[in-house]
Amino acid sequence: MPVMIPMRIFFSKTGVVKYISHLDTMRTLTRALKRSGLPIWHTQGFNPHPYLTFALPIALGYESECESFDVRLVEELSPEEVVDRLGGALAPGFRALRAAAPVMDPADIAWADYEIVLRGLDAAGAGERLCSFLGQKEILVVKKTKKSQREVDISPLLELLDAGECGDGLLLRLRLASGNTVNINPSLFLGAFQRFSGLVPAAVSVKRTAILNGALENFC
Amino acid sequence: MLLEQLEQILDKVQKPARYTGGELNSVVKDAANMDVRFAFCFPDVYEIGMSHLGMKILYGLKNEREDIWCERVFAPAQDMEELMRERDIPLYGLESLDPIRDFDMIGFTLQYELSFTAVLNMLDLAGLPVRAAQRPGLAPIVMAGGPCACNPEPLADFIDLFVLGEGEEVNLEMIDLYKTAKAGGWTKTEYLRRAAQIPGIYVPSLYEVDYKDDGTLREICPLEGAPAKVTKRIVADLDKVYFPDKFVVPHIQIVHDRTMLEVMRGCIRGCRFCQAGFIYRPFREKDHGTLNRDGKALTASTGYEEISLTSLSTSDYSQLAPLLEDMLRWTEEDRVNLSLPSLRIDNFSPQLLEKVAKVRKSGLTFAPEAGTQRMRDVINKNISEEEIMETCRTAFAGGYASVKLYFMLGLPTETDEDVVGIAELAQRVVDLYFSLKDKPKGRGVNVTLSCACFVPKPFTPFEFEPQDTMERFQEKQRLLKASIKSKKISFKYHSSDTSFLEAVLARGDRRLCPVVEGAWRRGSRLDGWDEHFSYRRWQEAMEEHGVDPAFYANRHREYGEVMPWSHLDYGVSRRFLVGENKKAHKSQVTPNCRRQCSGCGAAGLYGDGKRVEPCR
Repeated sequence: MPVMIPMRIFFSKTGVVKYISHLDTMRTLTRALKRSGLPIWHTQGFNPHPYLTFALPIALGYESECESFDVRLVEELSPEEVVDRLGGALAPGFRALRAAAPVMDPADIAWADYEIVLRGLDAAGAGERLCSFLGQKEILVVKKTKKSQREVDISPLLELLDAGECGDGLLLRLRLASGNTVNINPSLFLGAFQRFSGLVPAAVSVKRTAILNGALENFC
Repeated sequence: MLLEQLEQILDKVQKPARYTGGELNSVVKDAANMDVRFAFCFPDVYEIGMSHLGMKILYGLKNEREDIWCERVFAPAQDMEELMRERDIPLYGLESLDPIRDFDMIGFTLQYELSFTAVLNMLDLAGLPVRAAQRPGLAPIVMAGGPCACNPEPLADFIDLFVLGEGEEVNLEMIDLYKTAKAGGWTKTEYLRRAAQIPGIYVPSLYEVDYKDDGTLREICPLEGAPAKVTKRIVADLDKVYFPDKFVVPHIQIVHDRTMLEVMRGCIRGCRFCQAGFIYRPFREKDHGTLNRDGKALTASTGYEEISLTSLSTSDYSQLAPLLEDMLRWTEEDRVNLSLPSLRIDNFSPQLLEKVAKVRKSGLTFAPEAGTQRMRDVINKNISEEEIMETCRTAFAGGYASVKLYFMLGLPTETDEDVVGIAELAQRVVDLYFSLKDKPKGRGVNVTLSCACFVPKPFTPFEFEPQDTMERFQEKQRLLKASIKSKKISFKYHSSDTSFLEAVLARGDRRLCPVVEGAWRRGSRLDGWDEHFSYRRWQEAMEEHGVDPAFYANRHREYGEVMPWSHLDYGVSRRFLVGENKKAHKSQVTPNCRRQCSGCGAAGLYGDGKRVEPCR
């Protein structure tokens, strides 16, 4: 049996590459791995391909500083070397941040932190509306799945960490329930706030800054 | 600045990564240090344009130069176009996001006739007048090249200059002259007058076309010292010509998402319907060492897991065996797949099949083009039924159970018997499968017939031929469908109205310019896409301008007729084309260029008398 060393690689995806879907991100990273020449385990069979699994991929349109995927190395390499070699081969907009043996199971993921900027709003007024929005006893949103849609109260599933003025708009730092079982996409929150407040920002930018487990430890 | 504007619309469109640039290996330079900014425009969506090898070559070639910055521009899809128009976002280059109306030169590649309205639409989206006469300034010069530039007359009113033939050398000469013009403060007229003196450059405004009463051309007169004949350019030595060692690697999946190597230019076959087979002459090959080296470099710089060996007929490449040997040595270990499109059946040896099979086992695609031997002789497709059957036998024995066969309906002299012959040939392929003892186990055979409508094209021996009418095409499609008796045979065909319009534009003259503009003003954009195509818009535009499409598509032309492209020279002589046409009508075949030189004239393109011997 060849060696098989699991490795979790953390990367960021910022700037215009936020417009690449998850499927295309996988393809882009697969090609970067190929260019890097890293000794990655490939699936066996008729059409071997590199084996990559992702924890909680970011949605199209959002930036992230905390993406990760798992691969298996077939040769022993230091995490630093993995980061260096992959980093040198990545497309612009992607950065390899660090690598390590996986500790947590992606199923442990419970929360994710986001930095959201709503541009073209009066920050003070919008901040007030935000307070009354979050002060509601229930925040009901319609969550659509492939089969059905149901109403969910997201008030226990979100936490405002910080809010403040930022240029011509409002900056929010928000923690949202995330993971396999309950997942609140920022767009769900933003849609609900927009309906409640009637405020339509000129532009919205969203960046994920952390992925956390139930004990609020960084996913690692 | 533009990025902020874009960010407000990109989350509202399909596949936003088409519009952002920033891909690996895209070239970003400092605009302030550039002498010439060039917008390379592909008049179709990103996924199509990014698949085009010619664009990769010319993009790399120009960007090698420190004084030129070449950027890519594609046609936005409908959703993006609507938002761009709504918010006054002008068409921009993907590298800088700067509006291309401020560039020095805008170049279009003309790959098919139905993209002509997309060219106009892109000029309009850029904020430029579509008519050349309404763009009086030196910049931007709007030029075009590519296969459809061999009869560019339906675009003559819109494009300042056309480049005929292969662009590697002439593009740089054109840009250098522009630099001189810019530095010297020339007018556009002065630049175009001088550009017309560069071999391979055709300036349509320097030619006057005179018509006879019957609507045909009387003569084409050059003005202001422009050459009476513009001869296309070729690159004499393909091993010395520029080829990129990097491709821009797209973020989204494109049509041909792989490394492409161009193994040769031209084709030895001389199929009489095939425009590419004539306008890309003379036949020239690259050395297998060059190809292997380029393949390795591109695999390293792109991370692609597939290499495709492209040409008009890759199995005619004389060094195919050593090339495959060289490449399989490292591609297998590197997990890179080799794919070989355009394999002709008559030299598909079991050894070659084994090598291809080692690489990939999907369906096989062959193009017999016609169902009967007589018809195949007329078009000079030198394949016998025995050879077709033998190839299918080899393929089935090698584990293939699905065969796709390409045909054309409406070929000159075609009878109902020839149409029915297509179904009969497919049936014999099905029967062959069931008669074989070593056929793949547990799987049924599937034969797909894909039938295009024949479009007579300039610079082919069939440039004189009338196209079948739409009604006749539909009759033939019905006849063929009714002749298919087996459920193992599936039948796909092209719609006849797009082929009819293609025929009108392919052999059209300058009087079609207002029609192209009229169709565009009526909403014609991405006509190459069935879902966007509307024949009605074209019909209305033709009616408005009193143009009878049958005059262009369905009329027989005399051998002596002045064609709209008679002032353009692609190396192959009119005398040769007439001879081939006569032979077609006598069902006589012409040997391929490797067996015997038939003296088409293309070897004369090497110039300076160096190469007159037959092309090998």
